[in-house]
Amino acid sequence: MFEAAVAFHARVRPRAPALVTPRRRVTYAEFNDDVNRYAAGLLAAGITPQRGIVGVDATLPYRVHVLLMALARLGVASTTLRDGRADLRITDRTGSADPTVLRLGRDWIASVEGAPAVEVPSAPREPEGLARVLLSSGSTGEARRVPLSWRRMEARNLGALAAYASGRLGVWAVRTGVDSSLGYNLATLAWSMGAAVAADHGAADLPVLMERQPTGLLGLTPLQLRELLDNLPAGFELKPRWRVVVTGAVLAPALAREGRQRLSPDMHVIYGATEVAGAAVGPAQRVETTPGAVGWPVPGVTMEVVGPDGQRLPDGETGEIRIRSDSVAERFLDDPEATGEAFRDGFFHSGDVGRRLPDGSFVIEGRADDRMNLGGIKIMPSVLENALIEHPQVRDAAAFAVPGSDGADECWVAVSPDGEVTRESLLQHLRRAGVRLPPIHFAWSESIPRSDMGKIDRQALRAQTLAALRKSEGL
Amino acid sequence: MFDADLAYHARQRPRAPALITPGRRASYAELDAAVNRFANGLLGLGVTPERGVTAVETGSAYHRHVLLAALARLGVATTFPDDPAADLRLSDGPGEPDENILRLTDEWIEAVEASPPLPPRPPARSPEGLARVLRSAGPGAGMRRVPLSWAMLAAEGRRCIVAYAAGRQGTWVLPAVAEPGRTYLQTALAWSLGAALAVDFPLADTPALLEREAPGLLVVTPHQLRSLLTVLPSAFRPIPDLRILVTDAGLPPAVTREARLRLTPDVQVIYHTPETGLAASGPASRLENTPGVAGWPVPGVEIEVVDADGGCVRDGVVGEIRIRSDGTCAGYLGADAAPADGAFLTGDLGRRLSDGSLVIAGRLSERMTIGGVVVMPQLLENAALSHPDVRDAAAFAVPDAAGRMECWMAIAPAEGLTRESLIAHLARSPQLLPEVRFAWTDAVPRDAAGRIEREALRAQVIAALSQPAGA
Repeated sequence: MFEAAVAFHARVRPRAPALVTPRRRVTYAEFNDDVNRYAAGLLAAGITPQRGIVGVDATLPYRVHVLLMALARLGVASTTLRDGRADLRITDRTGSADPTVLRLGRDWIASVEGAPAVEVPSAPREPEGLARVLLSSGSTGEARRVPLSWRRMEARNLGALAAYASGRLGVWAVRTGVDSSLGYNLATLAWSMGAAVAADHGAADLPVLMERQPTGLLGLTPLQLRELLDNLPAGFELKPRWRVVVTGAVLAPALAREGRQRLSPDMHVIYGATEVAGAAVGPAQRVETTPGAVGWPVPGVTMEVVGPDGQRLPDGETGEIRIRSDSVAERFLDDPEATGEAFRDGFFHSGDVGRRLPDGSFVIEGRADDRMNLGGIKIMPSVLENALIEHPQVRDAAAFAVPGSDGADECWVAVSPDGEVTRESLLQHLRRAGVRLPPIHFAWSESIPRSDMGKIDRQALRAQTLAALRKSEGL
Repeated sequence: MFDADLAYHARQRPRAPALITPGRRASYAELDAAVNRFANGLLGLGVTPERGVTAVETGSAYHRHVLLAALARLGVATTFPDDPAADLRLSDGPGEPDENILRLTDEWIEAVEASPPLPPRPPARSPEGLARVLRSAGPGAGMRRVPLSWAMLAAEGRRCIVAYAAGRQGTWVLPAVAEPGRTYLQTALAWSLGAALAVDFPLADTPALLEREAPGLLVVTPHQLRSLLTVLPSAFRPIPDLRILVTDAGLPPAVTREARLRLTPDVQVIYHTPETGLAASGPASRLENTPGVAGWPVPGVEIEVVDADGGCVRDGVVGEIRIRSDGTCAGYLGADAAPADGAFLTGDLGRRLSDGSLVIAGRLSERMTIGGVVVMPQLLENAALSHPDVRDAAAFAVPDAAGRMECWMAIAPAEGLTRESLIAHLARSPQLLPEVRFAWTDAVPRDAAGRIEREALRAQVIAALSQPAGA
């Protein structure tokens, strides 16, 4: 669908921008011409759907996008750069010969880019055929391969459109890149709708892009939002005509407030997973009163909270989130065991813990495997973290469980302080959270280890704490 | 399904405007609550999908739109207001009760509007089930009923998003009721995307409406656009963020130029039929050089130009337009004649340009043969309409006493138009025009969709000619 739309926009609005990088601005006519040139070149090099799943790696972000669209036009399934199990990898980097790598030499590229642009028609395809492989973030271990059909890709486009993208054209910048679930979805949707994709804009480039373009859509993780706010130049004015969507991890209330006050008041959180795309969307200001609030299910999505036996729980009770929609993948590639665990009863089981509010919206509390059981007190780390982050002298905080000398889990909180802060004042702050507190050990830390998506790396914190404990015992 | 999208927007953006009529204005939260109330009220009257295809015939545009969404929320298929084959009619007009007509009294409406807005139980709805019946003039004579499933309604929405609707979350202005079928599609799409719908405003109020509301989309027929320009205040400042969508490529080039200068540079034309949905779209600016150019096939639609035997003709050659798409209906309701093998012969004449775009010449049934030369009435009409003192014009063929076809034009003149200046104006046309006989009229008869009623004109002229001279 999306690659046929590129050809349409190239005719109807040829001079509208299709792709913007910090150094380059490419119109729909130019982009479509290059997609045709590369599609013809790849076809001549024997790239057809029979070659299997193809990964793309190029030195220029523009070429990555052209190659991805050229593959889509040929009906070839693509995968992300990090996917080590691709059947074939296309790259413009030099290296040794390898039957699973197609190296695009300088001469090949020159001849393809110099060739006349002849329209390559969209290859016929089955809607259920494989279109794209995404890698799940792997927050629960090894990254899994998530296969998506052309039909599911279209359903993801439409879900995003109805949920948060319908009023926006202009430039769409997704900081997580085209290899991420959000990035690929929004790039293909932008090209369906005739918007421009901004690629390769770093935290320092984005403020300039937002000042130059009157409207747009910005997608990023909480960590990237923090980085962007830290990089906002003095005198940067609020951009109400830019919509900001934050995804990938829980948005802290203070960060939500700062983002709405300094970047754009039009800020939304998206709750989702690589396996399901965006499942719920809500205005970011609700996070400020209800930490973890992710809004309402996107039209067409069924979201439920279930107990350990799979029974649906009443509103307000905490349980695992499961999701069903046309956008949800059916399985993991080549991993029947993980597939059976996550995809059952017609639902994707997210491994996230949360609750449904009476107004139909959802609150996410964290990962099921993060839940701490502290001598009978069951508590999600996010409850402690959300309370602590509100403390004026706390820059960041992470709660996690570490087995004590008797083998029972004990609660630790790593705090990254901002100035002088005492244990007493932290505890005082926590008591206001209104939950039964377990005994807490505090550890002071320069910074909290987090993944690319901004998720706290509790495994690393646990390991650090255990090592420190052993060391102090040894002394 | 657009009723679910509407409920979603009511939660996300409760205060965003959803429906604007001359008498009333409803936000998404208010509209969603009203849709729930009326859905419950209709359920109380026994309106369920089993009652069949339902027509809504209310005087109030607000209630008409709320009822249409309420019926969708109940999974009830709807049809255009004067569908003679509707199974059930909802009417707020006076009249005798009838088992096929539900009369919605003021008391009933008042009670419904005071009831709690609880969402009704979602219906078991198959995507392949009937959602809407569209009216088609049909390729031959007579009216036909085109069935549209929920899935086809959604697919039509997707085509429109790619072609013109993306990014339009302002106000969608649909002056009067242009074409009931198209109006329903636009309504469903506007509410899917979270835009505001402004309906039922007289053309004279449209300029003020455009100035007041957030710019979005103005959907007009060529005739409406022309009329709008005549009532547009001279001090109206163009609104570049507004997009005008003209629902017919027969837009006279002079009107295009004026609209782009005085209203907005963003004018787009579409070519569509009820049987296939949206087929082609392109910028109206191209009309100034190529009259009738409707743009390119939208993704997923294949357009062919064929001769009388059904064979494809070369680029540039005029033939009948044939459309293939997954949006083409499988057959008419209650009729044997069905579009064969997913391809629909439109009854429209056109040609393909070498850049792949489509030029619409007019209806096959309206083609005139004058003195052995084939002429499309649009050619003459566009030439006449470019005269500043011509308010409206229609061309048609009438046989003379000897049975030879003569070309006639009905002209609605502005003050000061003389026959001589019109003839001189037509003579300056780049195309060779046939000799024309003129009939002066106050108004050219047009149907609700703005299409010229040539049969009525022909009958009037024949009647006038058959009267003895001087009678």
